[in-house]
Amino acid sequence: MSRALHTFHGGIHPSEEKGQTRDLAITRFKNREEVVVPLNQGIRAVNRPIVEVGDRVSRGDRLSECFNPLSVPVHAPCNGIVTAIEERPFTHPSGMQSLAIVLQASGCEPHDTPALPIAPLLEGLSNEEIITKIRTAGVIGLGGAGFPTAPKLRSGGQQIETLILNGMECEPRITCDDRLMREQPEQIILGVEVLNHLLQPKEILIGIEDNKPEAIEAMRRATANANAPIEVVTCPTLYPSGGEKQLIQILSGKEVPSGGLPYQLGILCQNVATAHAIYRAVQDRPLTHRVITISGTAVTAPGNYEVAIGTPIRQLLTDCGAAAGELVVTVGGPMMGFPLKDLDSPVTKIVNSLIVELAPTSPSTPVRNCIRCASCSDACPVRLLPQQLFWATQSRNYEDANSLNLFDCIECGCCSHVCPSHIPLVDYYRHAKAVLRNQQQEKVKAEQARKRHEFRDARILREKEEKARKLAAKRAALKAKEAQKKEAGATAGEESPDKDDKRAAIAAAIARTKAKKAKLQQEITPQSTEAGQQQ
Amino acid sequence: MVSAILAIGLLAASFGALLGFASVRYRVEGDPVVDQIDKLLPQTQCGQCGYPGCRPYAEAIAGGDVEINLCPPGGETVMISLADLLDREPVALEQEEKRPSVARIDEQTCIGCTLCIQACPVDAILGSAKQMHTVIARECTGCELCLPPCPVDCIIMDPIPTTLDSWVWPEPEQMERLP
Repeated sequence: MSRALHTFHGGIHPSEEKGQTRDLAITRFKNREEVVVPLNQGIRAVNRPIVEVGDRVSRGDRLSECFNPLSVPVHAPCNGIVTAIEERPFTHPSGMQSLAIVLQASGCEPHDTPALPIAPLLEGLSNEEIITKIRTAGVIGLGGAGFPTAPKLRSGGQQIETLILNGMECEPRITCDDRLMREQPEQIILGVEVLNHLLQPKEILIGIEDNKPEAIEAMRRATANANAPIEVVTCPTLYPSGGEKQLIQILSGKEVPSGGLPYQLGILCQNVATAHAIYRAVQDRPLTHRVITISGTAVTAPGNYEVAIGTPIRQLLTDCGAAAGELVVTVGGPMMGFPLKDLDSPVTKIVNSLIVELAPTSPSTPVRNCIRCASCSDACPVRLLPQQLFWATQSRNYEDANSLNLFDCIECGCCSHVCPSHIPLVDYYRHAKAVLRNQQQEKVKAEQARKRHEFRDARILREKEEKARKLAAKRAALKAKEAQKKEAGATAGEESPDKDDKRAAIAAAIARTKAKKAKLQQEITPQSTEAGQQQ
Repeated sequence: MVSAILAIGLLAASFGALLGFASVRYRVEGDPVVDQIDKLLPQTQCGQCGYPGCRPYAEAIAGGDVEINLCPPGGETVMISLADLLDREPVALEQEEKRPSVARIDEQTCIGCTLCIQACPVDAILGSAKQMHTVIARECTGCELCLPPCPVDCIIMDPIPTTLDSWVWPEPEQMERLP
């Protein structure tokens, strides 16, 4: 309360538009038809299904195994039968497909999460066992980026001084964390207690923007009898204060260095919904449901819904009374979200909001030339130079963009939002980042190929040399033997062991044939000479 | 007068010694420019430039009498970075840029002759005589050098598909620039 807050550079005040859903309690969405659980959930998930078509699964069963430390398994959100394991539309800006496990759903109600003390749950468990529990429950960051929670909790073996809980929810329209904090603050705090048990930080700060007074109140009440040094901190509303690095800066005044991670500063940041999922995970309840906000002018029943992960978005829209006609669905908030390509894509663990609007009839505002007003630089929370980045990326000078610290861009969209020329700046940056990432991959591959090629050349050379050496050695040995034989012949005549016996035998045979030949010759020659004479 | 000559002479001698020492102590082995060029090339070792591999082509470019646009797998990106490195003018590509691909052996047709194994510049084909061969896809550079030696034409070049990881966010349409 009395804590001195810091500020970050820039930031904007977009219109919040949270009114449509902020007072609507979380309702459970009932699945009727199929549930499509993609194996790909967070980042670079390498998952393999462990069920087969026709298998009967019950809610909470693990459906996949994973080997990459950065991937987490997925679980069945409901009782049902596996009807297919195939490529299905995936909730990704590319609109590409991804391998998914399709379940015929029956009974999709999530387990209730009563608030029980955690001490008996954690008794006798080592930290590593708890972290493994969190991982096998499939918990990833629910704030939007989807970084797996387990590796984050290991925090590179560093002691965490400050644990920060992110309840800022700074993006317009999204209210799911707000509702969760208002309705289940005890469960969130229990998750925080698990984190406290694991990390033993000096202080725990829960940052909430001041536009959510009810959530602040509820969380304060829940922390009153908590078993940990928790403080709820009210922060001024400013987008993007909910960005991990921005929140750390607000609460601690420390700036995460470029390319660095918060744990290097002794800080760890988790979303409040993730804390809720962690609490469920230690109760052996996997992450199968999450709360999402559905808003927009094209739905008659907007709200905050607890939905099964894998619910096709089309099903959700039908139940929310989506208007007939062409819809534009944005996954995520209006600032950072992306337009959904295929309505059959499922809700994944990182989907926190769907904005449903009718497709615009009038063309969008035309893009104009950059007038170098520098509004973007003023708004950038990471203190980049969006205008310079724009010139570099527009002319495809990606190396230059990289040296302007393109990869520090958090894609918050502030620059595009304030641009008076409506230049889609972030789209340029996203494109450039992907190109640079691929180029980096290619470089790694080229380096590998170069090494293998050099190795092959060296190998061929070595084989040649070895062959030559062997041949030379053979020749030398032969020569030496001949010389030896000559010597031996000169000194000791024919006396020899069995080898020389053989040679003698051969010599005798040669002599015999020679004699035979000579005899023959003698017999023939006179005739032939006679014949010659006759001619 | 004498002291001035002495001073200048001494200076000259000491700098000479310093330079002489530096030239021995910090001698550069090999040609660093060739290494730099070689680093930019895609290392497919495909020989489509007319040289037997990436390094020979790098040496030829460093020699100065070869164009920098002869590398189809590298395409425009490599050509432009070469132009940047060598301070030369960018030139249009000689051949069309190639989509990256990876070789696949149809194991039904393969007779196990080992000819492709000998042709592969990065040892990415596995097999032995009269045993069917297979391509280690991760190591294959897509150079196509294994195609001509194959007596039964059982090697197919598959273009590498875009994945969720390699997908590139579409570039915004270039706005019209004022004349």
